[in-house]
Amino acid sequence: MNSLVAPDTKVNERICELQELVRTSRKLHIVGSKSKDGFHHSSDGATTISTPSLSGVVSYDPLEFVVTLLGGTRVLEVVELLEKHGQYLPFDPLLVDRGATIGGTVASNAAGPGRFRFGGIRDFLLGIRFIDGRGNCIRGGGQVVKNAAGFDYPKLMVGSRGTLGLLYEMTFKVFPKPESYATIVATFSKLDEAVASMNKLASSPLDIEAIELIPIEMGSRGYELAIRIGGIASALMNRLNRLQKFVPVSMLLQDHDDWRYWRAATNLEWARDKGSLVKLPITPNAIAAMDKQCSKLLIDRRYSVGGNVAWIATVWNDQWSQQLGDAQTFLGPLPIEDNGYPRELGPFGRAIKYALDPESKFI
Amino acid sequence: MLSPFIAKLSEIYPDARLLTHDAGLVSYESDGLTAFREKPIAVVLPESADEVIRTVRCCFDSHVPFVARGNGTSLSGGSLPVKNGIVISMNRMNRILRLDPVQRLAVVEPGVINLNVTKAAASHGLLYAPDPSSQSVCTIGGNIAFNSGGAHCLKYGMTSNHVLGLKIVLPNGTVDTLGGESLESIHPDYVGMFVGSEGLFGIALEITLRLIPKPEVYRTVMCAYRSLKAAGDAVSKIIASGLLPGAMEIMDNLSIQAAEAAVHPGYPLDAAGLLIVELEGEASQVDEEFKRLHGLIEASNPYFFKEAKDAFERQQIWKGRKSAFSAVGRLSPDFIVQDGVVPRGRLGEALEEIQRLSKQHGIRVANVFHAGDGNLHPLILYDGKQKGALHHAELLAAEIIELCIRFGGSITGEHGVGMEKRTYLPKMYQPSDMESMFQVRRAIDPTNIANPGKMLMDGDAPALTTSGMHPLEKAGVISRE
Ligand SMILES: Cc1cc2nc3c(=O)[nH]c(=O)nc-3n(C[C@H](O)[C@H](O)[C@H](O)COP(=O)(O)OP(=O)(O)OC[C@H]3O[C@@H](n4cnc5c(N)ncnc54)[C@H](O)[C@@H]3O)c2cc1C
Repeated sequence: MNSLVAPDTKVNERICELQELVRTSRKLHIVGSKSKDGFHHSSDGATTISTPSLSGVVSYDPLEFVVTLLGGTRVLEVVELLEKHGQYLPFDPLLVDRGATIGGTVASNAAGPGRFRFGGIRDFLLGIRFIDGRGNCIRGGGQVVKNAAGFDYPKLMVGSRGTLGLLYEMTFKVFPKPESYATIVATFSKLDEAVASMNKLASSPLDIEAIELIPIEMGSRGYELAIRIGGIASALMNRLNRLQKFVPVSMLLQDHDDWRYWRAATNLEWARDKGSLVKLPITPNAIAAMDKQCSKLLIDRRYSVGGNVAWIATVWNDQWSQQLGDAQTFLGPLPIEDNGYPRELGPFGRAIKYALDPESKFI
Repeated sequence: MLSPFIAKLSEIYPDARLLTHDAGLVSYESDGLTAFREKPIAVVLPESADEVIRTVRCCFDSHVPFVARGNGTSLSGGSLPVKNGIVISMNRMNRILRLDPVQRLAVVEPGVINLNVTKAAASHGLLYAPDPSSQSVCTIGGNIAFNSGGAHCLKYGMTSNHVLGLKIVLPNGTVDTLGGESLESIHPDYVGMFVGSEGLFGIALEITLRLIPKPEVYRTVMCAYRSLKAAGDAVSKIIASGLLPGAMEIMDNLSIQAAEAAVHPGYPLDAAGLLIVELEGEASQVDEEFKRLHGLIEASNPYFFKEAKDAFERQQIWKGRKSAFSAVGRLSPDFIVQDGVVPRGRLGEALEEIQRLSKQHGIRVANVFHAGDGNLHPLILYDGKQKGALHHAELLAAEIIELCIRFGGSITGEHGVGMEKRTYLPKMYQPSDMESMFQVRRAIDPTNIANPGKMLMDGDAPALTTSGMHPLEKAGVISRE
């Protein structure tokens, strides 16, 4: 736990090489598997560091519910490993079948629908090792599930987009995976009814894994809510019956159908071949206005995590993209030429960037 | 004659809210870690964010250090005044500015008391999850600074997991907004970085909290074992089974005796280890979970088992648990409370080791744990009037902290590093890790005026006297976990 880098000597050598590369480069751009190509537009003239060469499970103790991984490890590999022990990462990492790496997942904050129930990547990342802009290896956090010692670097790195350091090792808390799941899809003709139902469910004592709000044919044929529950198999029927009292059910998905539905959602399949895909953090109250706009401009979208994330997929035109505000392109070309890259930082963000990367090497 | 600095403060505050005389300052000399004392040069009582901002600017211009203070219940010296510095007492900024039951969030001022948020949320069927035992007194601002926890962190996490957005004033007087109202973000998680920074990054002025639906049912059991290790092993088995209880707590015999004497929760007095497990959630799911839990507990061979049959009995079980430390505190004039964490699979081992150390040093140690997350709270009892007793107790405390580091754990799970554990932080982290923290600190607070000397050791340590109960505990207002 106190060793500076992972114990494997090959890995150590590789990390030393990367430290040297950071020290001797002027500009650096970090890529994992490039499954989220929207993050890789501003790398002109920079040395590219690719993390997949640093991959593997450093330690995993199923009884402790803690796993430590090298940054370039494919998330799929992790998901499969955990599953063998009935465990999972409850935040539903995105693009698992498109090669996402664990480092990229953290750096891009790529959490999916399951984030609704127990929290996001920030809530499951316990410890981190990274190379800062000086080429030093830094460890933050720890390997136990509760730790209040020192600054919370693990959280800081979630969503850092490779601009604060090269994340090469991560320790996650994992959870026991529900033994069974089921999903109800409810349809609504009007958006406000769907949003009201979503809010009602989210405030109810029903334990819900995920709620997604999806316009049907861009909203022209109404809206559907996909509601997923999970838990002990013998209680599931009872809970489904109860759920049906809340919403008009048009479809029930179980077993493999349920699995396939959510796997497609976390792989963002609906957004493929639609141009770019942009993520906007929102709250449920913002949906009405946003949806009206999207519907007018024939833009496809989904509202994820109980109305806390809007995903917008389209080929962009200037008029619309000006109104985007605080958005992150995940897939495809940038909607706005510079889209604020590097984004304007506030005083707190500037101080942290300066402390960890004084020469602004990481872009 | 007013010093020029105090004169500047008096432009911001009326006399009644600017304390400079000994009589007014004395109650701000220390926090819950009463071993340390330091008199501030002044205490200010702001009533608005604007006043706080102007005060911080004043401090920045005059190079005067400041400490924000919630209600001073910190157990690690976090809100201890800094030499030649002022205390900015936040507890008059105690309004809940907005409660949005539909989007399930609350916007609050930092001086609002934790339990008041919980109460306000409850009227909408919602819950503010973090529940430190000091919840009836401690402020959300203090919780933010320490990333405070409680008995119910196992499933839904600590304070940090429930903070969405922050308005802060940095040590140089600039104001920034971190995060927002959404559960998700596209920026580095600055909110997460600020939470737990122990007042070193400035002062939180406004906080957006996440509320969650109140669990439909709770099922709470207590079971007693002939050895502490057996209780620890039962916890490991329950965790390994894949159940996810809302809380799992262990108390040792000394704590059981003390709690029973103090609040009569009906604990079995002869138990070496008492385990409390609480399941929470949707009724039909919890019923099934309970069957499994019951099987696991049966297999762990307790000699006593009881389920709370109603809300009152549940409350009794928790009342005993939450009062345990104050109750133990009454057995001894002074005590030190520790807060280390070990991997959950090594709980039994850690408990045995602490018992061995206690015997070896001839010092009584009572144990109360957040067992589900491996967070130990050994309470080291001593009499400060006896020569060398404090020093001896500290040696034992040091061995326990080092045990936690050796086991791959942490020196603090929820009480923070503060003054108390700052010499241990460099034992948990490498020099390069420490240097990085200093670099961040310097970038955010180049003149070193925001709570200097806490967490990162760069100030003069005030004199250590003796430790013991928080004045509010002595008065029976709060109790600690
Ligand atoms: C009897 C007892 C029981 C306890 N039980 C628990 C428990 O179960 N779990 C737990 O985690 N802790 C517990 N504690 C510790 C303590 O209550 C917590 O650390 C609490 O969060 C402190 O809140 P406070 O308002 O008293 O803050 P203070 O003690 O006044 O301050 C704590 C820290 O917060 C900083 N601070 C205060 N306000 C702000 C602000 N607005 N912006 C920035 N920084 C600020 C201060 O500078 C200081 O560093 C207990 C303490 C006691 C005495």
